[in-house]
Amino acid sequence: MFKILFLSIFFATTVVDCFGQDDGRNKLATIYFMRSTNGTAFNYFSTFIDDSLACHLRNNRYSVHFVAAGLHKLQVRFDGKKPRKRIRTLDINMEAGQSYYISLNGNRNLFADDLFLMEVTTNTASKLMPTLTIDNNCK
Amino acid sequence: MTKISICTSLLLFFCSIATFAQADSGVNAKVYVFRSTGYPQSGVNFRVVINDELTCKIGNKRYALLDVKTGVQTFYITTWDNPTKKKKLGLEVSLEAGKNYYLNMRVTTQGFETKIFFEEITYNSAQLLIEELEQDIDCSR
Repeated sequence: MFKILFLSIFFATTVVDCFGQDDGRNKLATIYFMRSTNGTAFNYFSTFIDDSLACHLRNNRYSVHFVAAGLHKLQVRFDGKKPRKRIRTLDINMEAGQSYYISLNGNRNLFADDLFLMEVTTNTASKLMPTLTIDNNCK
Repeated sequence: MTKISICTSLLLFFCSIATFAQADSGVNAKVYVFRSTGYPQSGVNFRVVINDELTCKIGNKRYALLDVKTGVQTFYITTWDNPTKKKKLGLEVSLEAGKNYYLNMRVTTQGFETKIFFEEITYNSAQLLIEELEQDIDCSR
């Protein structure tokens, strides 16, 4: 009888532990930066999350970042390691447990090129992801 | 017997209501189409082809609002000098009634080949583009 009681308590505590771990993991939101800009393929593009450097991305790569839920400002530039004040940021209010797919888009203009971030849906991301490779250590 | 008849009549009644409700809300989906593709091909109209139908011609720095039938639809872009749609670059979107969808046009050059294709974006990015670009009210000309 005591054995059964002991076992039941043991299982109950372990189950509670598992749930606790799940909750902790679900508090984060996931950001994917995806780059496939074929026009300017050679230099690194540096992406920022809240004014701190997140990743130097090469062409045809993607990177994964975990952030706390809340409002985050994302930015990209093609020169330098510090964020700029004048560049318009992409502000997204992120929810816990969700993933956000950010594509690095470039437009060619007559005198200067334009580089900006665009949040895409899972529909587009699932089509784009297989053509890219992951970049784990890109700081 | 009476029980069965009552049951069937009730069932039919509720079913009919459900179908009518679906018919009322079964309007088309709204699809926003954005184009700000920079310098390359900026003098040329881009033509939005849904499945096989040419529905919209759109100039640079414009956006258009389309009513599209619900269900799985494939979106292509063609130009006047390249009128055949490329199956590889088509974007399949499953549209639901009463929802908004945002599609952005992209141009990339790789070597000598230019690719023109759609990507589906979220409302966060789309609201910036709606402020920035001019609306093309009747693009079906």
